[in-house]
Amino acid sequence: MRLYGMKKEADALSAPAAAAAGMPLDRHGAPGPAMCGGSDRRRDRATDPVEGDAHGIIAPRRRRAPTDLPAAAQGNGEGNVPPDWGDVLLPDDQLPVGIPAAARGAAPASAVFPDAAPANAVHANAADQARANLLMMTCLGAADGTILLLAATGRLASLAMAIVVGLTVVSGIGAWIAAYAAFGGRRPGRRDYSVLARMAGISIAATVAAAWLGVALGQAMTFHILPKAAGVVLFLVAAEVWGVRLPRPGHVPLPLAAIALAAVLEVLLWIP
Amino acid sequence: MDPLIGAAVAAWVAWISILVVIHLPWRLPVRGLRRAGGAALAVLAASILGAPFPMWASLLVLAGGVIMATAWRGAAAP
Repeated sequence: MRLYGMKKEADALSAPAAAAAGMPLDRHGAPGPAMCGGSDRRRDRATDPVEGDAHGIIAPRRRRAPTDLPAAAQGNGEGNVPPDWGDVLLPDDQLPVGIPAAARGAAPASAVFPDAAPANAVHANAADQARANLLMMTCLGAADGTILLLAATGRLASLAMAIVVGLTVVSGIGAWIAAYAAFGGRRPGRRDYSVLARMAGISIAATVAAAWLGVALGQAMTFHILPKAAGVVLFLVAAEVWGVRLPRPGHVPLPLAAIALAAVLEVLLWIP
Repeated sequence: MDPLIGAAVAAWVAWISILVVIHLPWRLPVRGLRRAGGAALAVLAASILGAPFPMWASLLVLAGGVIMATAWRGAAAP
């Protein structure tokens, strides 16, 4: 809690005058901190919306004001060192108008500053973002056509190839990093496993659906360009995973643009 | 094997590996892992395009890269 105006008034007094007025002195015999509580830096940080915590304001510590203690205990310049009393509480009617209720401890800061996101909300948003990244990473192979092309060209017909595709295309490094960011570093709880199971169900369904579409297309027609396009697309994805910033023609990821171009060329080959 | 079963197996293997990664007791070296994953995908792409080595060679590259990145991180840690 900030004692608006009182610190300046106390600083303006000399030590004897302050002692005569009954104001507590600091450990050096000067008026101020013993009365105003703690260090100025701590007090300012506790009430400064810029330097405060995520709420903007740190809740003030409620300490008892040393008004009912003997003068010796308050530090009267006779060598007595007053204890650190922390912040002195003022009645609400003595606080100047304009101090937020949270600064007075009357209401939580979120009620006064609704725009200020609480710290736990920030962490929740980061966790949700990491989970969304994990779901996107595990569905990316099905969405960008890689699984479709691999299934259409018959590369998912053996167990060894399925394991290779699972560890490099379906999950891969990006999915592992996203999974560790979302759930790593702590013991996953029941709710985490429930979320993981749902994401796994979505990912498996998307992968199987993409493979089904690829198999159907592969049985219906003979591809000439798309099998090679699968390799090119994987090269582009490899470059992105490596860290190369690929251009985005028309705000479309380059692997998707490459697949679209290959599909158009494949269709053009069918036209006699 | 039916390609649909192969796709389901691939997705299951992927999620088993994700569960393993979640329970790792150490922090992941992100940059080194990205390099390893990029190299493995490049090997897979080259195999699809007709390079004279099998697709599972990408798994060797991936495993070697992960081990090297982890060991490098462990050696660099104080």
